[in-house]
Amino acid sequence: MTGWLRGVLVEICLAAALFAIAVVIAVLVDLPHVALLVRP
Amino acid sequence: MKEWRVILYYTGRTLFGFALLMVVPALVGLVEGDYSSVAIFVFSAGLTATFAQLLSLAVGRPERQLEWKHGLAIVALTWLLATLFGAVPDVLSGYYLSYLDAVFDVMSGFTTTGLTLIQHPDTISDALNTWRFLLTYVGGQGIIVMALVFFVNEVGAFKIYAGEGKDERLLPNVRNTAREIWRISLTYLVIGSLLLSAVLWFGGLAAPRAVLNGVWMFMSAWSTGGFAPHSENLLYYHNAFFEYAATGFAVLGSLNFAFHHALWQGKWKEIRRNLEFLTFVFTLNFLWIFVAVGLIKTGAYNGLVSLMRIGYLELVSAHTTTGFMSVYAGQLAHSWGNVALIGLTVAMMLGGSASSTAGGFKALRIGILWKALVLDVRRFLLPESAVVRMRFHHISDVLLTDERVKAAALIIILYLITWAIGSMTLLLYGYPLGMSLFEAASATANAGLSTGVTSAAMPWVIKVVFTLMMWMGRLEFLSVFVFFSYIVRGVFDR
Repeated sequence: MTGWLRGVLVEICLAAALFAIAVVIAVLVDLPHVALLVRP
Repeated sequence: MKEWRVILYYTGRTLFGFALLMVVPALVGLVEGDYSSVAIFVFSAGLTATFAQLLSLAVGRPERQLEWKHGLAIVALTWLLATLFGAVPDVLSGYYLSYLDAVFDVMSGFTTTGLTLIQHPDTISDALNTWRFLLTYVGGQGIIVMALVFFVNEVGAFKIYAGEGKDERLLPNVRNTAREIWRISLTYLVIGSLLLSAVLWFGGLAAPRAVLNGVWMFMSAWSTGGFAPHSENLLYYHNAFFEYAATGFAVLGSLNFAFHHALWQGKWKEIRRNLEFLTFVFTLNFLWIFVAVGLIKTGAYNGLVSLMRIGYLELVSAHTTTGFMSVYAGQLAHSWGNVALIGLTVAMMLGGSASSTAGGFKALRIGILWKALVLDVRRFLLPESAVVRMRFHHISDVLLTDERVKAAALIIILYLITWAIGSMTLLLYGYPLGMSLFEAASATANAGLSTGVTSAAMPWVIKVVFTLMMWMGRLEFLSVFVFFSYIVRGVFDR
């Protein structure tokens, strides 16, 4: 595989990993007992 | 006068290259049989090229070598003139209420901001849309970077290149650096346009529209611009996969070209060691906690799916300074609540990476200031006689010097001053505090999110102030200050 293609694939995986981290954070923040703390 | 000769000669050369860009939308008009657009763009190209050539011919080829100060002034003047001439086809199209509105829009496109004053964007010609997105795409890589590849081949070219806010050399030769930037951008242009077009086509858009929308939206995403061919921006497409893909390309566009280059060379350790990338990941996720909590608190979006699709995509859009809107401006202003809005405002100000298409403080500067703070704390904890040094990794190992810290802090302070001036201008005209801070941050950091303040109806003073803010923010101040000091000296030295 050429360098640029491997680089592009890795970078797309990086962006996807960022979204995955955000999902984990959102799940943790949205857990009922956590959400109850911040909801009025 | 000799110094002005150098500045004007190279400005003319670069502007001539810019004029040739107008051929692209003219060709789109020609293919579609839209001859009024062809006439508009041919006239505008001719006007710009004639002015540029006359400028270069009038001053003649300078004998003096290019110096740093000339390079900085050339960049500032080129961006200004390119904006003024780039607005000619816009205003001739009839979709702007005034020339000032067109200038605002072109500066917004060029600086990859994304705030717009266009009227009825859903009905404009494909040629004009192509022009708007091409401006964003070229502005993202840099006019000078484009000129260095295609039109200017001079000794000392790095002195012009560095003035555009992209002062990193990917390769030893500055021309090869500019070429590498374009190689990365054009590779992504092909891949990204194909992907986005395919998504839209599968989503039900007719093939020609899917291709045009795919190419335009990729240009907007990669350049962290935020323009869209429809007034509803991202919302128009009603396609979650498209929204995630477009925002994903905005993330890639906001990364440092040197980082892309390193990864393309197989230097994977950059992912876990690069200070700039790690700072970006940290601030993005840190702010996401705030924004998510803020949105849950107000009850704006219930459930993980909407929290991610609207809340997170807006945050990424802000942090990469893209400005894609997946909510209406009114919702942003009235439903998001203070915590989430402040989160977005801070995200816009922090911005993406240095030497990328993004605006804002830049993650590298934040990382350098953080390291400096750690270093100072360490100095206090160790014996007074101890010599403490710190290094950070950004493509290579770099020693943290006072000079680097000062340079990073100075640019951040200038961003804050500009933000304050913009906010105060809006406050003077009676806009609420929260909206003023948000909108001014959006213009200063070249982000483009809006709570509805930016419109053709806003006072002309705000349009002028915002135009200047976008210009200075994109060029990171120094070029503009050097340019103004030349003007002041020219006036007072007579």
